[in-house]
Amino acid sequence: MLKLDINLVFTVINLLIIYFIVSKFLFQPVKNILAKRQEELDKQYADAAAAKSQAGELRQQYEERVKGIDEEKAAAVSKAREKADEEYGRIVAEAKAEAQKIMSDAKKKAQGEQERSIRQAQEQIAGLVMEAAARVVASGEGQAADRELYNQFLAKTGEQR
Amino acid sequence: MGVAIGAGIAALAGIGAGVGIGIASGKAVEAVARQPEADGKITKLLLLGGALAEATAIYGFVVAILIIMLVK
Amino acid sequence: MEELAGELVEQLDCVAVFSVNIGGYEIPIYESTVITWVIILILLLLSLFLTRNLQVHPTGKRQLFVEMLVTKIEGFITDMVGEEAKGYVPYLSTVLIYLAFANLIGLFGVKPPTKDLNVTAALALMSIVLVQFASIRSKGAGGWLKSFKEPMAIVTPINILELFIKPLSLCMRLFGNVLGAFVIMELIKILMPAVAPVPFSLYFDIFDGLIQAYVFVFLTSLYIREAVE
Repeated sequence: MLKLDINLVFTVINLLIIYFIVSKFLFQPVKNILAKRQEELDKQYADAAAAKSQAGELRQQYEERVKGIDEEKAAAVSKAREKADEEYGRIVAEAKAEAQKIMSDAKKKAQGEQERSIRQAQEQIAGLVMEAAARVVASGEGQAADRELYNQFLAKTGEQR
Repeated sequence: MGVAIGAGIAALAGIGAGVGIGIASGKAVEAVARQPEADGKITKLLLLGGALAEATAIYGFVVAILIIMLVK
Repeated sequence: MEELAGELVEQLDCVAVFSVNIGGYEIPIYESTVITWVIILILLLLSLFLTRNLQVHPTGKRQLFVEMLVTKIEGFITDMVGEEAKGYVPYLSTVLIYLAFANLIGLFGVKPPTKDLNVTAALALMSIVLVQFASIRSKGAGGWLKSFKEPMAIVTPINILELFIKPLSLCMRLFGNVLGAFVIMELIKILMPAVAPVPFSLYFDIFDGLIQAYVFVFLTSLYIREAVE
């Protein structure tokens, strides 16, 4: 009980063996697994951060695109309005021109009609006069009188013309 | 006979340890009463102090055993 | 009375279980050494069983238990020894585990190995060697030699004396405690073999054993901390 001998050395060796066993078979595996878990946790955190930043980027892109769409829309609307205005002006002008043309056509036509009716009337009048003259001639006055009358008539019509 | 008396005297070392541990425990109780939230720390220190103070008694015991074993 | 003393002495004696003959020298192997071998075997099997197929995502209670155990022991000893001396935590854990097993094995009716002076002397010797090694490693050989005349040159002999007193005190404290507990337990068992030993065993074997393991590791880590700072 109270003597020191070679067993002290055995105890030292035994302790070293226990040290080896405890650190190799108990502490090392547990520490490894804890380190692995920590690593995985860190990775997950990093992944989450990356996903978050990516989502932010996407959002920004989306917002930019929406803004672009708005601008495009406004541009398209204004363009369409411009085009419609133009069209409207053109149509109105065309309609105006058409109306003018129709009016002038109508005027021309009316004038022509008038002239023609005047001429017709003149011709009819001339015919009537001739007939009247023929009837006068046939009623038997002199040839000289005839001529005179005729000439007179011609001169009259010529003046009239 | 002399051996037994020697061992008994050596075992008197236990008196000091008893007094020491008593004082330490009393002080620890005072400390806990004054600061109940430091309970855990005080208990730890008390156990340590008790173990250290006890060592004296243990030395007395070891010496007594040595006397009995070695002096024939 | 004579009979009781004889029985006690018989119980106290460390028996050589067997002896090996090497080169003409009879080398006795004590009970304490054999029991330490048994503890080694138990520890090996326990470690292998506890750390069998560990997973990153724990499923069983066994893994949770072993993780908790390892982190608790590590945190506990790191608290005592300080962050700077973290490299000595495995050794101190080893000593703690071994002492806990050695002191508790008395419950199974076996003589605890720490009752043998050889074992406690070996532990104290290793502790003091480790302390000096830590001192040399952190301060260098010159710093280590210089640390003997601190705080004053006049206390150098006391410091040198301390080099022997520290392990002696460690060794004797552990030995005496376990031996004292053992003697008292044997006395109680001889006087009242039936019911009385149970509460006393609770105190002397479990509480005192664990406290002594704690104190031994605490003092060793205190010395190491002192040496490293």
